[in-house]
Amino acid sequence: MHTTTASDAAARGSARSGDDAHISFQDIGIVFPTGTRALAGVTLDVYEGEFLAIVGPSGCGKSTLLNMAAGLMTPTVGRVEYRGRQVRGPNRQVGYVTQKDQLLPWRTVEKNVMLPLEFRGVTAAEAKRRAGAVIEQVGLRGFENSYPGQLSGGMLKRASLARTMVYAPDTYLMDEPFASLDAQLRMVMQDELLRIWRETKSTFVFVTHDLAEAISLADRVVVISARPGVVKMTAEVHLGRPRSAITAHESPEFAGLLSRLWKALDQPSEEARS
Amino acid sequence: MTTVTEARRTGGLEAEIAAVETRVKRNARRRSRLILLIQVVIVATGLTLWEVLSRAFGWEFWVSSPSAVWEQLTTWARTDELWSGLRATLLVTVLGFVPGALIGALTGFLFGWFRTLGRICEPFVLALYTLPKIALAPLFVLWFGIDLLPKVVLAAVLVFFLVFFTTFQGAKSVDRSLLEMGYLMGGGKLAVFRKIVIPTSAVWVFSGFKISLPYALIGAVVGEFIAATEGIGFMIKNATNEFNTAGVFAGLVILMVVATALTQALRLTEHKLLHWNEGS
Repeated sequence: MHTTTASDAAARGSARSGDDAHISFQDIGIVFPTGTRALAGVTLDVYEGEFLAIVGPSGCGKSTLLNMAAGLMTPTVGRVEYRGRQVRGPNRQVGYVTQKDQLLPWRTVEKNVMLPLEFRGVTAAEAKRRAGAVIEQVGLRGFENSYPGQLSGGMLKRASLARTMVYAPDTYLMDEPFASLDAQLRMVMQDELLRIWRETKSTFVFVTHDLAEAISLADRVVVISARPGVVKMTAEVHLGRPRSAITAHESPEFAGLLSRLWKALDQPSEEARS
Repeated sequence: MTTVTEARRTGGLEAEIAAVETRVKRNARRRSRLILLIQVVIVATGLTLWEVLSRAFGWEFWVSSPSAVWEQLTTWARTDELWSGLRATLLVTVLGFVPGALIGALTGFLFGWFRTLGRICEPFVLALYTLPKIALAPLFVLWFGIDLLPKVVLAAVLVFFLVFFTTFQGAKSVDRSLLEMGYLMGGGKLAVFRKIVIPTSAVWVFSGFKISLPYALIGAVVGEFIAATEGIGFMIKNATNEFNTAGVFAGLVILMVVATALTQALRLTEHKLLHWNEGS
């Protein structure tokens, strides 16, 4: 029986009741062709339906973990499994949202959102209908026929979210999607993202270097150390669901967790390993 | 009370903004009219100076004069020589441009997409490119005779290299992460190529077309210099042989008009196809 509600998912995340992991990173190490060691033995399970945030200093390899889950990169050592199967080649069950919007500038918003459905052989009429529905969901109604060049940063973000939502991926991999937005807009988008997570009931893996963002969104926060990255700490967030990214900061739990995460980030990685 | 005065005040403000807007627009219109006027004056002055100096110093043999060039043009137009020459040159230009551009774009895409193939072949293409292609013209005459074919081949070769390099660059410059996104969204290699790579490179391909179109004309004219019985290049060469300076200049004027018209046509096509690229 799969959990469906957000609070259940949170509870399950903390229970970790021998369920098979949705995504499983097993003792991952990676050495880039340049000789840089980015990850050194990361073991991490992502559970179905949870909202997991990965934080760490830049260059620690946290984006590399997403790339591996997406099948765009293979670990030098170790193994990545998705739903119990080793990931080989592009993983079409995930949706990937990055800091760059990656919208095609010659396509309108609607046509951009329809692209994954075109790729997946959905008929034009059906694709149009489904694109319309998600465009409505992200609040871009009325901008279907605008080109990306005519949209603001927040609207571009919404459009790229819609393009991912339209094919209902199992898992959303998000690599600092809101890093380029101003503080206020970022908070609005975080709130929207929480709503989308609740509505889609998908698994979210969210990479950021903003601790506050990680806490206000996630069920669990994983701290990766500086290069070569290892898991330094996994913290559960008990802020309750449904939650608002805007008011999450007010809880005392938030401040406590923030300082714990700060300390974990601050320690040199040698100490963390002992 | 207050609301009324406020409304009046806002009304006044709005009217003022509208007035400023019309003024700004009027100024912009005036400015572009002024620019056009200056351009016309420059052309008129240039032509007058040309005419006057040429007559005053008896330079007509070397530089001819606008009136003589005009006379030559009208004579050619009347005797149909102009139209048959134009037809011949345009035919070579188009017949050379189309296959040259197509093969250039195709090869560029191929080498850009299959990186290893591109890396193997690039130095060879580069080596051929450094060759002054015009120097190949006599060889083409030897191989293909003196009819249409050698000129078409020369024009095509000139166009090929330019379109090839711009397309190659374009296909190489497609963002890798954009392709990966395409695969994750469910696209196969061919679908990603068709829906992402080709449109992304289109800007580059078109700039290749634009740069190379005048070269197709160059190929045609040079070909006509070497061996031809008609065409603008042939007319220029004939005029030179007869010491008819007005004829040479008239030929150059025709080429200028043709090149401008062709480039303009291409620009309009580009505008139609790539309108999203104009930063709205």
